[in-house]
Amino acid sequence: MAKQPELHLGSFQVRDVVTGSHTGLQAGVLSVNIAELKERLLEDSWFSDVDVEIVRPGSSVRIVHVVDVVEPRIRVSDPGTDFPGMLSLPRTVGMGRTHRLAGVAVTEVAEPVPGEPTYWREAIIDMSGVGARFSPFAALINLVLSFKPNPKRFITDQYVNVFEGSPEAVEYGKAVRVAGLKAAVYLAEVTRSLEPDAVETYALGGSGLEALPRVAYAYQAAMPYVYGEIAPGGGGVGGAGALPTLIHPNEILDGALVNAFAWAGSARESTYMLQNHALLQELYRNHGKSLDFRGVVFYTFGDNLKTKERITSHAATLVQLLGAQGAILNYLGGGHPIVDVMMTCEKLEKRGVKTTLLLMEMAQNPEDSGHVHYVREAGAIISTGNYEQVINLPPVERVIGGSQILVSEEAAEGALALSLRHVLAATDQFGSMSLRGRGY
Amino acid sequence: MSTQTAAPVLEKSASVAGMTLELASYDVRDIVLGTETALRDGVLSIDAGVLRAHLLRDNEWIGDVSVALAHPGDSVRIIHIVDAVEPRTRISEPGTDFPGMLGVPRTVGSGRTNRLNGVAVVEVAEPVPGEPTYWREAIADMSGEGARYTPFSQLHNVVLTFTPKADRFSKGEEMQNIMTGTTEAEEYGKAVRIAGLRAAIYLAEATRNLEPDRLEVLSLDDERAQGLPAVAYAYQIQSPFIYGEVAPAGGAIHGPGHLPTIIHPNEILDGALVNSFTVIACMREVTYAIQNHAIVKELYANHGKTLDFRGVVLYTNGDSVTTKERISAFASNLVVLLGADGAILNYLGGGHPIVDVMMTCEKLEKRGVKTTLMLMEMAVNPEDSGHVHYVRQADAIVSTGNYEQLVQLAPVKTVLGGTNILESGEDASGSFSIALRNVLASTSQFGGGRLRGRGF
Repeated sequence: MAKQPELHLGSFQVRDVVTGSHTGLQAGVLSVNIAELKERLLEDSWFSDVDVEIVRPGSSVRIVHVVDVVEPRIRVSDPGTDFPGMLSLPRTVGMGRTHRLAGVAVTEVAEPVPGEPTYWREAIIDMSGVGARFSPFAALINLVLSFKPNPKRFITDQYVNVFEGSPEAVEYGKAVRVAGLKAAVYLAEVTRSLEPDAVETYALGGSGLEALPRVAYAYQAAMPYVYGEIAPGGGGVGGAGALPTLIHPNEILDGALVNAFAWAGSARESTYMLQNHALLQELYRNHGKSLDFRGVVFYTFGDNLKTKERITSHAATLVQLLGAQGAILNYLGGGHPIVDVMMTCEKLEKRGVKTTLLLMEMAQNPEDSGHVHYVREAGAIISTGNYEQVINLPPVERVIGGSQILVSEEAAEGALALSLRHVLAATDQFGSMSLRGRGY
Repeated sequence: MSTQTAAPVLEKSASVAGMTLELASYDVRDIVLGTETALRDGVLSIDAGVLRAHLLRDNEWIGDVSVALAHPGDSVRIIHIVDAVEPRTRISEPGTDFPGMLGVPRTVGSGRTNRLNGVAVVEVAEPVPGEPTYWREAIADMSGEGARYTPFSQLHNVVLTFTPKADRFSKGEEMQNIMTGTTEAEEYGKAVRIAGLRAAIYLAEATRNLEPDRLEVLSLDDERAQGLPAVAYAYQIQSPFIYGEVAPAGGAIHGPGHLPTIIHPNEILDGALVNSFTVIACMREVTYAIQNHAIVKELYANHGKTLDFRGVVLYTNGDSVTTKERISAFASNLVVLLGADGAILNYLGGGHPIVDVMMTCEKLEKRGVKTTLMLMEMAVNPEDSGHVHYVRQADAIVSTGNYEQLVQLAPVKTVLGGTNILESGEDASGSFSIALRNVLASTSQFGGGRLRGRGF
């Protein structure tokens, strides 16, 4: 029989990042040769320049216009398969050994380019003060890459709709993400011949699982690159012909998925959140202890009743094929997708599979339930926070990424009252947000 | 560091809740036209007037349809075949026949379905303006030499000949490419297929309150399968309707963003997949061949006896090295997820798809999964291997026949569907030599053909 995938993830704890004349890791301090890194990133003709800055937790810094965030990683045992499909051929990952720099994030920021939709684009990280409480990235050392586009590459500025920008804007957005991935690989490369502080092994199956409840995860994806291609999503964005499929959780944790869509900051499916997917981590932690983690069903959403029926039926069938007694469902945010989550929930419950839902709320006032659709069967819901909640951010000494908040056009360094949806990962759909429930 | 092999993800104890299909067969030994539609003592009587009115009701594209019968041994040649369907009706809830094509795309593959055994509804139509014709011809001879090659010569065929509403088409429409015709031609093609499905249900409805001759119970849950070699089927589809939508295939036809997935074999057998593409007749993925999928049925027949049938991976083909790498890697991942020791791969035909089959084969073998391939040959002469691509790992190949082989067809008394063979323009009732590729299901990619190998 074929060997089932087994991923060994070696962590190198980083307690500081400094600039230096060479890039290396010593005693938990990551030194970065900024000039060499810049040179690598500027090989791409989409950019006229890139600034590189190190931003530490507690500093009076606000990072705005974030596009994506990546954790530095390299695949050690299978060279040339880092972020497959984005940086190399789309070869299968999720097995063998991968190294990560723990505590560090490569954060890509860029002003929107002509032809780029801006409605959902803003994403902010405050490194100190009230704002820092809401973004998990405030606790990391951020290596911030600020990209400047090459104006010669932009010809049109017309965008198709609020999802899809002009072809140039889409290509530029991909170039920014690819540059972030390259930086992540460049940094993690320093660990290649070092011994990690800790190694975690991720594998499904095993012995002693017979008596444990079998749990699957129905992952509603927000249109990531999957092995380098944007997965056909619901009719709104991808085309209704797509069917849900299965993906091994190790592939998700090991770079097969990369952010493609600068969706609302609080719910954005950033690459970092995929690499450290909180639901997967939690299911793996409990695998063989309190449950038998059976696997992941990968689905999106339809754009009409018929495509929703088709997609949710197949998603439910795949959960059943995994032999699950229970399923966890996340929600990517937005109006259409909640209907598909609820339809999948209903079908699963009717077929005898218990469900738990992780839902972001969108409540503008206490009279608003924050949920646009529900079914009777949705009896176990965990809130990941209300993305309409307004928070007050104090002024900061310095802003990286731009001078004004998008859409509102307020001065970015000043005091701001803004809704949580602009704060990166504040209501993370995978449950790694900093918000917690409280009993009264 | 641990090197032990983890257990398969889909363990043998996994309960595939609810996916048990009871397929009730009603043997039909003759079909006749009559004043009512009913099944008595194995004779299916069809009220052609009622059937015709049923098919013409509420449709935008079909101008007229005629009903004719073709029996095994008749001096009849059926030409211009679009698709063929076995009469079926789903008896138990959710009671959805051909979901997504007719009604809401609800999951099928569990509960009871009735079938008329020995009957096919065969849809024939002249190509309409804007419809590609290069791969379109499909012939079934009911007697003589030609009958030896098509499995449909062994069935009682209800032949529906469609003509379009004339005002829906303007002459000389430009088609986009050889795969997809004009929008109008595509819509008409879908309307013809849907009419065939409705006819299939109409006929099978005659069984509703009758006792079947046989009941097959199809389920992957079988204690006896434990410990037997685990076998998966990697099904390379041609682009059928799946629950009513054409699956995004390789870039050649659709978009490369698509990923392979898993489908329960019962869904395949129970009407979730319907032909959408009139590609080369000898290997056309006709609905009848999907409903009676020879590989799936063979795997079921051996499930719990010689093997443990683990399930089906659905995939298609890419249009570039990158998309092929992505699709074949993902397909092999899914086969591994199914815990398979071995896999069977079919081949949809054509140049691009064989590369994806071979890449999947190579990846599976390298990951420790043994493979067997079913390949159609395309050899114009004995010097031609008939295979456009291969990998070293492909060392167990079953041929489903050579589609370039010429066969000599005898004259017939009656031709149904048209007067001239497409492309060649020959008189359809005469004697002619023709490549096997024009003969319906003669090299069926699922192995349901009539050709057999012979040792020398």
